[in-house]
Amino acid sequence: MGLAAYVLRRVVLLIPVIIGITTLTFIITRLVPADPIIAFLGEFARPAQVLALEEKWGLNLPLYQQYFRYMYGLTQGDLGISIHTQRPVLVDLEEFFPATIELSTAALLFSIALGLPMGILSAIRRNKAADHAARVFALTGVSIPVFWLGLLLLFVVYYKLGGPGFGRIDPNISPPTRITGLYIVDSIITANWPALGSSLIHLVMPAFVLGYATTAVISRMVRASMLEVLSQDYIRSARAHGLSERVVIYKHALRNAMIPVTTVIGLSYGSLLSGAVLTETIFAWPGIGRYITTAISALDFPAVTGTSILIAIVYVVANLVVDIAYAYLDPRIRLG
Amino acid sequence: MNEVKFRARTPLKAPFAIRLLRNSPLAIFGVATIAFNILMAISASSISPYDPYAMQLGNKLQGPDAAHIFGTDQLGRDILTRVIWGSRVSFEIGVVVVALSLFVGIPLGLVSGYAGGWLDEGIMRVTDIFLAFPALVLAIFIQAAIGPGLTNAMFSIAIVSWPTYARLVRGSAMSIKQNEFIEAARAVGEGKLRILFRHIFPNVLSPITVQSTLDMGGAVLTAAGLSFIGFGVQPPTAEWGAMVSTGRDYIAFAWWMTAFPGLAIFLFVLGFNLLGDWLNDFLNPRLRGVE
Repeated sequence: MGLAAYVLRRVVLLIPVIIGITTLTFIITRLVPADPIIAFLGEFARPAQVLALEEKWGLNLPLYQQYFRYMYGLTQGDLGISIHTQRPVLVDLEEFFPATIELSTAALLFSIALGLPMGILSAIRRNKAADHAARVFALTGVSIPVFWLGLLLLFVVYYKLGGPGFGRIDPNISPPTRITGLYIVDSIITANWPALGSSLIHLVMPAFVLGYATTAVISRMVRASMLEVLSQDYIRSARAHGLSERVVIYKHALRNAMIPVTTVIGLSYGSLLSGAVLTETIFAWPGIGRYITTAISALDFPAVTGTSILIAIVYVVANLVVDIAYAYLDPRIRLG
Repeated sequence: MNEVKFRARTPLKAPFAIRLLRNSPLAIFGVATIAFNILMAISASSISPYDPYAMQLGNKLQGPDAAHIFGTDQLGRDILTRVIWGSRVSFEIGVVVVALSLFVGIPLGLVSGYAGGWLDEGIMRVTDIFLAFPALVLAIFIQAAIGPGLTNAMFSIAIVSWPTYARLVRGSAMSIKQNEFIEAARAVGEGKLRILFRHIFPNVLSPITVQSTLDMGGAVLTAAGLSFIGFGVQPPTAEWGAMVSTGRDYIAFAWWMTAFPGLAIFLFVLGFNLLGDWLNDFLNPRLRGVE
């Protein structure tokens, strides 16, 4: 199978998964004991209002018709009206999503920058002090509650040392003109240096908190993959030919070891979006994570559903991109 | 940390396990942490210095001192006592979630891997949909629908966890059914159910053991996350995540309210991760030969 055919096949296979995701969210929202109309209008709504809204939202229709209406709405980008912001959910998500992208991308870059060298070091110094230290760091990373780490850092950095704490930017500095919604990118485009500096500083702590677990996972994967590759015959041949250890490790081993690591990095993006829910809540980061937690407390189902669908779709698309990259790097995958 | 690949299990001698454990200080630390937690959970009523729900408003927000080693909370309750009692809730969450996921995941995985065909295809597409959501997001979503509380929290986390087991069991079952002893069992006329549970099931135990150990910690971590955003276990229950959540409002001047319950979550999860990591090396013969 050629690469193009492989990509096409995978994209087509994505359709039933997306239909499944949206169907599952439909089923879950229909299990809700809470009445969305009461949530929208309040306890003391007049019967006429209730009837009008029932008619408008199609809640008086049979379930299967409601399902088709809902699915049709989704294809039109209609995620419903948020109860707590009283705006279309799609508009809310457009506003809040860039903050989450900025945070999770920063966290991912941070975990690659730290996890990759740590994993390599662990593999080449196997069972030495550096390897043990990296292992402890990694096990800590996957065991620590992200909200606890965030709160402790907030206590030390913000309350004790007077460093940056909440939000994306210093409240005394106005945010950059919105172009992409990513503060870093927007402030570079508009050459707004104070905004750039402040948003970079505000990004450090949340990105570290969010990226710690991913750093751990990446470093363990790099280690395992490097050890596997280093035991191969061609590495022995390379050494027998008198190549320096540096060339063997970085040119021959690392390149092949990176193939499975790419998968882990791609898959991490989904768990970062998930971790963002807790991280954003702690740092008052105005992204979709904080949006969904606020929505839950307000029993705002259109908002919760829309955000969940968005996260799930980003997640499956990220997996797809990873699989395609994998197939590109390792032709055996698409031939097999 | 998620899925673990295995070959068929080879018989092991117990002394070897002990020898291996002795060589791994991290695993010993893990086992000790779990043992300590079990002890705390069992003897909570006799070792706690105070009553977990007794309020002493005159004594609220006290920092750690001789009378209250971990300090007191906003209602004057002793934090050490509440941390000790919290271990019970954590075990309950871990055990119930893992048991529920096994109960659903194992049969579905066995059937899927052994039967193949459209049944396998169908079950796997359903797991795809569940795994398409990041775990915490789906758990939050389900919990939002069915309402807050401990039982609902365990239920939502189990709904999110079973697909991993189904896939793990399916993978092992598929490779095991290729073996000659399965063909032999079929040749002597053993029924499908008997083959599934007598011959295939014992061989998928290793990966399940590792995954369950890791999930004991994972479930507690997710449950704590749900409590933290106000959706899992509700106050006044002494649950670690809910305690951290309350502590958040007082973080600026009462760090102990957050620090100690969070530390308890961390150590609990770490213990199970260390044990799971070690079990993985131990039960996987391929890795064992390497050392």
